[in-house]
Amino acid sequence: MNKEQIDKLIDDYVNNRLSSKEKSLLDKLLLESPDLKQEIIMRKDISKGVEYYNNQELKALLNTIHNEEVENLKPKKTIWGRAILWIGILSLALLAYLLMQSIEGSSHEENSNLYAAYYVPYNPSIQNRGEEIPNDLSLFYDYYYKKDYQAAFNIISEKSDAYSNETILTTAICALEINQNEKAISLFDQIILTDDPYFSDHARWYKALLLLNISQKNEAKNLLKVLSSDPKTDHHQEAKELLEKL
Amino acid sequence: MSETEILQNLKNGDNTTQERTLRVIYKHHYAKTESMVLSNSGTKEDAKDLFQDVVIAFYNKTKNPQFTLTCKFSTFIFAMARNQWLKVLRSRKVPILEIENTFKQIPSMENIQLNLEYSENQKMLASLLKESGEKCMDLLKLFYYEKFSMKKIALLRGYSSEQIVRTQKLRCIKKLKSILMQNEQYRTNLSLREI
Repeated sequence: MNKEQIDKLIDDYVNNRLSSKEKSLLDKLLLESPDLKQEIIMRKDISKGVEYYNNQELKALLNTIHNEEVENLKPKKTIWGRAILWIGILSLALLAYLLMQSIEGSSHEENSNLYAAYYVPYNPSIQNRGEEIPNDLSLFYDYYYKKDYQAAFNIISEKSDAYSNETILTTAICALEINQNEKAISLFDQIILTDDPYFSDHARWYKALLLLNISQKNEAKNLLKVLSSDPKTDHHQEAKELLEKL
Repeated sequence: MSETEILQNLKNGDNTTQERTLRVIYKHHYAKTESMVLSNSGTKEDAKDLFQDVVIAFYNKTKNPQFTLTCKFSTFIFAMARNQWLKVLRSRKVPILEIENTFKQIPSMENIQLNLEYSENQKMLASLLKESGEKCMDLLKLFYYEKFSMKKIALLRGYSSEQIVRTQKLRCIKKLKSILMQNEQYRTNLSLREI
């Protein structure tokens, strides 16, 4: 047999294409030539090695196809689906927020309008009586009449306990005017607790207006109910009107 | 694309035709394999690897002149996937009694195996293949992988005769053998190995 014939025989053996006759021939040749065994082993390694290499190339192609036909489709759908879902959720949330703002806004606006309609700064009677008053008080009321509520507040606020309910009330009005709401409420409460027959009603009235302005409607209404229940109280009629409007 | 076309395209088609055919196989048959794997202790990565191995094994089978499809292509592919997945699960020691029960509706076709196992020597040869040069890689691919005849290779690559192809192939084999023999471990073990 020549080289080419042996080569073909080996390849046919490696590829399982030998006939039984050819198989016998190969067995015979193996006995005669020990090198042939190594040749066959190496040929098999080459054949399978080439197969393995090209299978890897095919696998790389299949990976590309997988990414294009399977992976790239699914995530897009998922991403778009999720995006639409989130846009929907955010839109609803925004709508709800705007609606709430609108409702609160209109309610707050209403309360502010009522406050503006009914609020008139307290007019102290102390200077009208022409009495001699201490310098700091005089200065306090000077500032108050000039509507310099901050300056007036600064003079008295820390030592308001030492003064009359009228001065405390006037100080509370200063606090209200400069948006020191907590301080104002505290001073109003101080007066209310004294149960002063005159100034307690004023304190309730201004406290109710302040609470209305900061949208604490229910608490404002409670105070107005007290004022409107007794016709002898100051601000009785205004309290009644305002209550009806609320 | 008919099943006959799939078989013919993979067996004899050019690169473009083969790729087109592989895409068709993917589009129409991947989902079922993925579903089977995911329902039986597998992950998407497992499904991808399994399906690709099945396609590669099927591709290799089409190169055998004696190979014919005796059932539907989809059945054949799925049977291969099922058999291979059972093999994988056994190797992972996952209880498979219930899995086997769920496969009762599928024809077992247990003799359909992937045959994608390669020795370390063969994998090493694959890594050394590039050293033989582009021409040899192409020629050896056409002969050992595509299983084309000398006549067909001569026609495809413009060789003037089968003899020239044969001679060229022998030169490539000789070149690869010398590359292999440079590896001491391979050389040492060669004498100890049996056919």
